[in-house]
Amino acid sequence: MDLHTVREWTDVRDAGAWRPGDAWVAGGTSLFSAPAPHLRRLVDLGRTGWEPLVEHGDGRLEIAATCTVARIAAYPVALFGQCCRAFLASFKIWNMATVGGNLCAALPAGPMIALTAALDGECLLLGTDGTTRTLPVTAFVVGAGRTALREGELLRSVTLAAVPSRTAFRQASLSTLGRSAALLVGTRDDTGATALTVTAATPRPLHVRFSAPPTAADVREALGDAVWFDDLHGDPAGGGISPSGSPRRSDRSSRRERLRRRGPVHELLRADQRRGPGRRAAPGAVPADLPARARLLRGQEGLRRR
Amino acid sequence: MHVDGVPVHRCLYPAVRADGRAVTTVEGLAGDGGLHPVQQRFLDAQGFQCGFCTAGFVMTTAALDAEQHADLPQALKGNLCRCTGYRAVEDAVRGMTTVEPSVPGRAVGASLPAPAGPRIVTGTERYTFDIDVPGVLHLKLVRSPHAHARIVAIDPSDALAVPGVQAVFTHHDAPERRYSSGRHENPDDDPADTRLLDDVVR
Repeated sequence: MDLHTVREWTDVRDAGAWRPGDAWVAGGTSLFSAPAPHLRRLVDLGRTGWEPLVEHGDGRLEIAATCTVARIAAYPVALFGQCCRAFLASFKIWNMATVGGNLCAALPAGPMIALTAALDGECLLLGTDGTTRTLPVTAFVVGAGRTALREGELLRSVTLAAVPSRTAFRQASLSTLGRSAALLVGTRDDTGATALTVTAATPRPLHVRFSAPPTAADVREALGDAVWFDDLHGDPAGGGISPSGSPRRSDRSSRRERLRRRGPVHELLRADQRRGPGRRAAPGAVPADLPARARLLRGQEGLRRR
Repeated sequence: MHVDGVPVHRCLYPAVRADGRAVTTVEGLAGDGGLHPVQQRFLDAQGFQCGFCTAGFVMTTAALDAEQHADLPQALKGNLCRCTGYRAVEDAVRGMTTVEPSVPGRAVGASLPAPAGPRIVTGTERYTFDIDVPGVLHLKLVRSPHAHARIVAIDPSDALAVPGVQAVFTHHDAPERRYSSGRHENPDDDPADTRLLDDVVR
């Protein structure tokens, strides 16, 4: 859509000092999907030439903020493609939308947040005064539509730890191929150390670690009084997430970040419990005794060696 | 549209980024003024009703690889048909032919294609926003912030102060008389329950 209040479009290399009313443009798929009357100038990151993916020798992967979702989808690690398919968006959006844009939009269902949080992503931030700092993804996204970015600060890249030997992916959605209501990513290394990342059902990513694969009760205890996000499709009265997927500007955190013990995550946990310890669903199979919502799970292939 | 061969959403693509790139829209998909095979398929299966979504379906379908063809719900999610559904669209994507030739004297009962079809699949059919009406004004309907309420007072001065605003109409400007927006053979089928501009919002 047209943003009628924008008067200027400039390349980041010519932009000079940050001004009030500026916004960075990476892919633009979020920016151009909702009115933004506070904006006056768009600062384009599209021609920075940042290398989308840099593989470091120690197994770490540095993803430029401008790396497209399409590049992530094509990356030869199963979890990357699984997270891309968790987008509500079509593959045409993947061709433009960026990892940095998804992190900065900070929507609970942002699957690039899930991916990078699960792989211990560290965000590199460039300040307006030329200084840099790093923040874990779990501290970068601080709420529904809220990040730790300071005025004029730029997300340059996110660096992931080496991908553990096993990863698992579960998504619950209220509709087929719909937006995530709960998105869980599990990782496990060769020592058995396991981490679980919860997004979509929470206003910010939760990352819990276990020395060994946990039971559902362990996970429930570790998540404790987690704050659940129960505003999947938006509150028409003005809070939460608009139908276009953009955060509303009014912050009704008390309404949308209500304590909810019976969120979609607990459906997933109950489902795993019914399956029982030691039993694992066959690849592709959805046990018939699961509650209807849990049967909407995708990615039933279980813990899969990559 | 395709930018350097990559399908993207034109409503989200800033025009400035098209500079120096090859842009293909449904009007130029066939290249030589004929029909692209996908356009022909949408004609053969009449994969449209009003045709508003057809440009998007044609351009997306033309960009699909074999793997995407095998999973159409995933490949075409985001392409929305508001008229009728996806049966005819899927027929078109899969290359089925459902139209029958128009034979003089035997056209009744035959599955004839929509006359507008060739214009629809090539993006040349005119829709409302394609028509240039000099001096046309746009109307913005202000919706009620309340589920159900009666307007006791309304002050249009702020709206009238917005540059370009020509007029503000409220229930004071429309007759109080109720009417029906639907008419059938029996006028009692459609109760007169509508006011053009009401003092009750709901």
